[in-house]
Amino acid sequence: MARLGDLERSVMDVLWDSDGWLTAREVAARLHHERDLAYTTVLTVLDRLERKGFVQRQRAARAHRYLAVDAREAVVAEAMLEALGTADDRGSALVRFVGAVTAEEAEILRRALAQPAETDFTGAGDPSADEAAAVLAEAAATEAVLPEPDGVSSGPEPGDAGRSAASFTEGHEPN
Amino acid sequence: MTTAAALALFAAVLAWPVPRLLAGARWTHGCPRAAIVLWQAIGLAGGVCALLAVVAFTVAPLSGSTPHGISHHLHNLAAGRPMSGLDWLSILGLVMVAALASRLFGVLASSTYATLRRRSHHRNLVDLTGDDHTEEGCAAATAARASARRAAAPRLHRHRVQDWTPRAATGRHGPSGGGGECELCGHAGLRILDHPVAVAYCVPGVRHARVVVSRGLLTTLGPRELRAVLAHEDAHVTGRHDLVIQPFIAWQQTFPFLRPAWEATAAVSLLVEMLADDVAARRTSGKTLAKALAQLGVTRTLVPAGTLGATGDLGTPHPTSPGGSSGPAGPGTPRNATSAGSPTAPRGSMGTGGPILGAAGAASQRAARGLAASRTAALPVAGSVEPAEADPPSRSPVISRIVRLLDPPAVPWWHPVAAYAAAVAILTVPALLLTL
Repeated sequence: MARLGDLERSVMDVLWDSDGWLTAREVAARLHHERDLAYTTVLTVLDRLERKGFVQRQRAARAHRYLAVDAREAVVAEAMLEALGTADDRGSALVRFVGAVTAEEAEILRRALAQPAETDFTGAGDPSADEAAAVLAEAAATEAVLPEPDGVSSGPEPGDAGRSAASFTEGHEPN
Repeated sequence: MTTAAALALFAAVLAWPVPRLLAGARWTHGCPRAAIVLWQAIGLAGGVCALLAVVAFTVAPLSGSTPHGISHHLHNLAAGRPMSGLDWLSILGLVMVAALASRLFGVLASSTYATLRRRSHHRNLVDLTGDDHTEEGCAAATAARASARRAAAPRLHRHRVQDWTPRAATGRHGPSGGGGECELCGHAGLRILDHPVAVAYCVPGVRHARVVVSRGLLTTLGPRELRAVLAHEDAHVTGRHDLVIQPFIAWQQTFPFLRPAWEATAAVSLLVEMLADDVAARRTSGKTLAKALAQLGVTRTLVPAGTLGATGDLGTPHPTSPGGSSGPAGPGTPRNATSAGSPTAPRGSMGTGGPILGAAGAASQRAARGLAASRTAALPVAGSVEPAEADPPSRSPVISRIVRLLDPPAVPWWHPVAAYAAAVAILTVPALLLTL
């Protein structure tokens, strides 16, 4: 277990939950950690967090006082920005499950998801999955689209297009 | 001198036409592992050939045969007479060797360093804000939820840990022993970000790899899809796929003006995703993973532009529908799709690629065409990699991945064999050329 990491989290939680500056003693007092922590340990953790840029320190009368640099939500937002690939990211730091998707591609995906009986989409060898595959494969096929665009693609469309909105939202609700 | 010329020619071939061809090839999707090895061979041989070409050029005055000339020059170096026997042209070559080598390795080192720093920072972010999921916590949370039905008030920050049990485990099973039923249990280094947008990614590392999912992902995906996504990310982590991509990123940063370098990075990134897809499909099922991909692909465009920042990888590039009805979650989509599906859809507008009339069918037709174009012409930066550059709008490889999962391509046995053989051949060519 990453002991130090856990401690850093606990300390950040204390700072995020507090309204203003806290001294290290106050932080230690508010920590509800499994074991009692030495004051110096808390100081060390605060020091590490300051070096990492998550905590700022202010010289008070006799002790230092600490404050979280950013609100918790801001830190989450920063992580999400990097995760979505919109921060200044050269692409290799994180390996994303799905990259950016254009609106047209999303439309294709939505249509595929809206295939009838989409709950059985995952069943092995069931026809709806094959249909979804057909929609996508046809969308991705290079030549098939060009000579006869309407005739090729309109097959599965009129039926399921009307359902697409409903099925799409269904897909996002707990089942 | 002919050796130098031959090596330079081979390096040029490996730097331009070969990557372009390979980036556009479809057969690579059938055997991603062999294709990745081929890509690595191309990159390695290209770099080695470029360096050797300049070296051969430098030592050409010393001897007719390049290896002999190199050893001769090394002797001179050891004897403290580095310049003996070289004319000014050779010294120019020496300078070029030094410049090329320092550029190649310098960029590799600096980009690796930058990546490691960014990763470490990101790991800090998710460690401090993300929730763990431990098995004890999962069992406790499940039991508590079953007994108290959320009577236990909103989450307290101190108890935020372990509270995100996926809906699969909470919904149906109840307190059935926790562990075995929960999709999230048993994944070391998993972090759950409290954010409504659905994302899943991994922060690679030797001992500190993290798989990060968001609350939005847990509420979007069903249990089987979640399992498939996690299997995919685990495959990235255990396969150290970041190490595969890293040299290509460095190549791209070394020669940012070379289109093939961008295409290579995009192609290798896609192949790596397919490799992880294959692993996840073996552990779960290809169709499940395909559905997860499609669901997440749809949600990626549902993100309001403001929360993403104005980098333009989603909405801005590109003449998308003026009315925005093919955009995120347009309520008018079904109607438009129906009308577009009818045979009276405007054929003429499709060829132009100009104004797209918000008709979903037409839009997807056009997207299909765009996909086709991106496959044959292999636009650079396909996918998530680089939104910022002034390149053509990027095409995400998501659809080709889904198609591949739903309808696995038949792979003739000789495809991977040929790819491996080609890799070996490409790697031996520099050695053969040296003996010319």
